[in-house]
Amino acid sequence: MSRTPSTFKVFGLVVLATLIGGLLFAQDDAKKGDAPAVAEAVEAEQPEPAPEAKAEAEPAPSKAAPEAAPESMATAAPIAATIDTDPNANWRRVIGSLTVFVLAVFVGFEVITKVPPTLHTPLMSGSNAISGITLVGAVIVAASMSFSGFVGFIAVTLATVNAVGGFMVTHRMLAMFKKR
Amino acid sequence: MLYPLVQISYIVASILFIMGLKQMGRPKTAVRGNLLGAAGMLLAVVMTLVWIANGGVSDQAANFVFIGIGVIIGGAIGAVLALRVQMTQMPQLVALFNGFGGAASIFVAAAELFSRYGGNAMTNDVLIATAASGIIGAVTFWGSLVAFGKLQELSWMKKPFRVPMQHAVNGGLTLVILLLTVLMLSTHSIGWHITLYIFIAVLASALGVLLTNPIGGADMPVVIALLNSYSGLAAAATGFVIDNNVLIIAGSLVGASGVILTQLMCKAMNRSLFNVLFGVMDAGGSGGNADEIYANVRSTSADDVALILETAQRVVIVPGYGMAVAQAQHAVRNLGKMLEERGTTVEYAIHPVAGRMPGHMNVLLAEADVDYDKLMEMDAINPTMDTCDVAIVIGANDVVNPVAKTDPKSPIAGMPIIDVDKARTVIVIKRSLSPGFAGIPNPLFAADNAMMLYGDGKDAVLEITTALREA
Repeated sequence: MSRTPSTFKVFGLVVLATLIGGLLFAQDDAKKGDAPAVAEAVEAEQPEPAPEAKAEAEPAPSKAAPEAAPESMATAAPIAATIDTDPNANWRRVIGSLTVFVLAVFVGFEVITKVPPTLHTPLMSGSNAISGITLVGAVIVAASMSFSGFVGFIAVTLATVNAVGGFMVTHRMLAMFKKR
Repeated sequence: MLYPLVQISYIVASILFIMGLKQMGRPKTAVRGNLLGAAGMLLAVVMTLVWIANGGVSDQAANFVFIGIGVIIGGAIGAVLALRVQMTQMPQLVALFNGFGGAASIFVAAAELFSRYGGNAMTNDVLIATAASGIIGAVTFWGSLVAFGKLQELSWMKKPFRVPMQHAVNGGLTLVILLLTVLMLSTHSIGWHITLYIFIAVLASALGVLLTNPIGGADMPVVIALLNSYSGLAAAATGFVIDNNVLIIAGSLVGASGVILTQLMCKAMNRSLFNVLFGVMDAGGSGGNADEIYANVRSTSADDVALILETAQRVVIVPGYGMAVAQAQHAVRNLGKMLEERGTTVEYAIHPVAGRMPGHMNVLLAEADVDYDKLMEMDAINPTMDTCDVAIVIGANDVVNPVAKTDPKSPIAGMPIIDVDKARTVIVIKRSLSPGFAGIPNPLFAADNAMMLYGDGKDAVLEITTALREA
């Protein structure tokens, strides 16, 4: 138990550093097109852009890319190709996410080491409520009037039940544990 | 510059989740921990909505109709369930919420996949994450629904249906699901991606039902803790699908904490997770002949129990699932309080897997206003059991069965038990001599220092209390 606080801090710092790193990477991607998918798809089709294209592309990103970003989603692939010349962009994104995932699992293990049995149920329902974080993903996909938006609506409903119900019932349970 | 602001809010939310979970591990800070978690969730969702409203997700105008209706309906259902549920029904509710979280993951991944129709196909890493969301989400959802049915004791779910060659079927299903995932990666057609995803989700649903179907009774705490872990992993997988760090972090935190609880529960039964999930308990295999063992069982009456309690210095109450079924927690509390007023020391011995979810007994007794300082862990109370005058076992069976220590062939061999047999007198309140989940007779009931008080847990305790008041 005594080691937990310091380990916890170290892990916390590492995760924080990773998060900030991931954020920088993500911003990088955003500048390049705000739609990584487009860039990736292009990448998959033409792993090595023609040298001429590359040469042309080089000066462009600095001024054109940030403004051009939103449009690139709708427009054709060539524009994205000129914007994204980094063959590792997709990998950076994936590895960044994996790093965050692995470290967060370790943080989870460290945080929940010694919990008294009295708190097992509240901890379970409380952490269950946290897994309702899917709500963030759900509202993102539900923000359009389309079939996928409707599927997102189902997800929003389910995740809200999970999150709202979970936190409330945990609170109710914990209120009973309060010492009189 | 809204995007970085949203991402930073996700970092803050993640920190709130971590701190919240940490504080939920201590009784003093648990309430605040839960509120921190809720605050983190609110922050993440509100900032996401702001981002959406400002065209962060799509260049088309954002539409909040679906989100608004979904949040209102979901919030209302969640709030009503959370406020109305009785504490004895808590395991079912936790299972149900778990399932909803898993289902949400299936639909988020599906919506993301559908939205690509007519556009750019997902890259392979995103496809893998999508399939994982569908698989883990569906297993969680259907597994939780089956668990809910079992805990709610729905009559048609009382007996698990038999599947011939269960393990082969499960293995085959898993293999097919993996093959479909590989197939998904091999094509660039979004239409195929969607079709295969639906197949994967349906097959994973079947797998979820089949995996949970044979597990029941005393193994429920393990299953609930494991499903809790899965719901977190499903959220994390969805995080990979939509490339969102807060989902990945929160999901993996929950996944990890669920694994730890699962391990604790397995340890408390001296069984491996593999054994719980895939092994079938040898019911009655080497338990011995019930008639022989129960030849010398003595029964007693509430009045006699009251007489014994009158002179007792130290009483230990051992609750089990039967107390939850009989809703006897308030009656037990009153009995304990009355004994304390008479100067008797009263403690509660809680076995880690008593009940149907981790900490089940603690929640019930807390509801009945029993101070948590009086709830003793098994390891803490066992060394002192020989100084205990009366042990009252109410609705517990396997967790006090001395066979676990004496017979290495027994299905519960090696499971740590509460040593009630060491107490001077043991009162067992039980409806009948029927076996517990392990399906073996309990020699404790026939021990020289033990007496059976037959009847409904609540009624029996009320009778004892009345008799004690009159004495």
